[in-house]
Amino acid sequence: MHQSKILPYLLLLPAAVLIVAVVGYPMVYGISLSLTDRTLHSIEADFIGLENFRKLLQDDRFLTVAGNSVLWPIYTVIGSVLSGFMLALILNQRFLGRRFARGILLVPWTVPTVAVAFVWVWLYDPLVGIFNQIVLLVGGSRLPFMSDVGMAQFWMALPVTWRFYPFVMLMLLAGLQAIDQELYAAAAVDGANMLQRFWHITLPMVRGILGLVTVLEFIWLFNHFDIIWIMTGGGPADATHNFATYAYYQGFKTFKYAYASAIGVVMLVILFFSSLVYLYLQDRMEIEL
Amino acid sequence: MDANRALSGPPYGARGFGWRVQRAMRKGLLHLLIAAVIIVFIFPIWVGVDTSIKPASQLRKFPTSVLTTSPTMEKYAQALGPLKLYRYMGNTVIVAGATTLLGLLVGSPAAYALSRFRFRGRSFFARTVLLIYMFPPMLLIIPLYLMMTAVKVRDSLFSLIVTDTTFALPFSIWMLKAFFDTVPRDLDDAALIDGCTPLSVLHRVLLPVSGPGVVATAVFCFMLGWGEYLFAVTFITTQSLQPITVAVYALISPFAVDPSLLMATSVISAIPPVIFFFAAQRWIVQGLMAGAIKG
Repeated sequence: MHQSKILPYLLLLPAAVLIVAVVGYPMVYGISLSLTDRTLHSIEADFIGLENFRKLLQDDRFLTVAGNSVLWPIYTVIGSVLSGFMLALILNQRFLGRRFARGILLVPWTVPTVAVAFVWVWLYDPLVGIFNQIVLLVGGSRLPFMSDVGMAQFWMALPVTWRFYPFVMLMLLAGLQAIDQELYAAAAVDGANMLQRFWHITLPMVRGILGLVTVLEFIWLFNHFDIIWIMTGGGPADATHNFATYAYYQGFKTFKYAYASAIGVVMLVILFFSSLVYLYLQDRMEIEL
Repeated sequence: MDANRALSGPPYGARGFGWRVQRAMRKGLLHLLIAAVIIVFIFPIWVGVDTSIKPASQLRKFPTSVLTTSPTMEKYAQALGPLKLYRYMGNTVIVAGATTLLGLLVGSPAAYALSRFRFRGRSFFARTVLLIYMFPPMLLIIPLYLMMTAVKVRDSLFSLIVTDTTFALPFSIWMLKAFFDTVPRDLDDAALIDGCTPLSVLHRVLLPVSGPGVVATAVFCFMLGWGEYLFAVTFITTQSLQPITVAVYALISPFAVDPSLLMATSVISAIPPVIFFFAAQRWIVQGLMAGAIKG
């Protein structure tokens, strides 16, 4: 341990300045904006207290979006965690070309979100898209995909899940590989079958990582904007909006800065509690490690 | 210990013919399952690349093929030629490059402080940094937009570099810290005895020794800067300053009838981050584990 008292603070200074300028101050600014009636056109904004939040509760569109925002993480978090876990289990087996398989399954994570959105728009094309061609080939009738208000959010969840599963896969694979193989050997001697080995060894050993990546995925997917905005802009009939795209729409399409900030504050409150869960899980991990 | 042996049969005792047949079948099934899963998950990429090289005549046929027999690079030529995609790629290279440099320049001293010093506020700072990547950017974007407009830097690459660097900080700090933590402190002490100042330990000892960690962090910052869309689409209004993520959309939407061109530009925009990621894959995994899981 070095002796200097001020040096660590000097070392942190540049990072701290950036964080205060780009996150800290704007956060305070954003919260105070949400208590005003500021729009693009207002020169002087008035303090209106919690009026914006009252309006949110009476905004039918916002209530639709809030409903979407409950379903959205259910679809995408479950989708990405389950597929990531499944792929990690598969990649943890020994087979020919395992490194190649791992590499290629990571690609979706490295592709820019814009490109992901474009590819899926094309896959979903109602007339000549490949998905509908497959549907027709197996004898079904064309699906409307994104133009189906009832199902649009589900179809939207697929590309987003596809972009986000590799992180789960990567983390869990690392966790699986850290499990002491002696445990499995001992269980095999005791006559445990595959399911029992999974339930009593694999799952408890990766439980910590599983919890952390689930919370992280929840946070990222809850915040997710790019793919939804590019593919549908929140439509049809607000069916694919989540809090993030709806806040953006209010802020930069209707220019209600204060109203959009109020939605941002709602997001902050929800994410604050999820972050607490994350930090709690991480503390527990540290004790285990 | 051999993982597969433990998993696929009795570790001791006789292994007869039946057992061997069973094992071979199991292996075969596993490979089939793996192949099927990979095909399903990679299908969108396959179709994207295939569409980008498909001649227009084959595009709207039913049933379509998923493997073009007469590939053409025409759309790539169009994207790089008449559409001048490289110009916007230049903006992206500047933003991603500067984000990488700044991410290391700002991140490494902070990581050094967290890895090697005990001081008041250490864990508060560590937590605050971590919370940045859980923060809703939507709450920040309007204030940032107004602030940047007020100081007249909004419609510039600078505005993107500053925001991207900040959002890359949690990763760069935590990844670098994880790699610094693995460097034995004896090295620092030896350098200090040899006359290094505590500050120069960072660039004379820690950074050179953790080369892979620095590369992994750099690649991560680069990817973040390369693919960033939200701030870019919001802050940049001058077309010639648009990074590729925004330009692709603006350039292509009038061409929406041409899926091949759309796919070609998407592939072009994806190639650099994909290549960089795979070059540094091993170390990124290591660094991410350390940052996201162990804290």
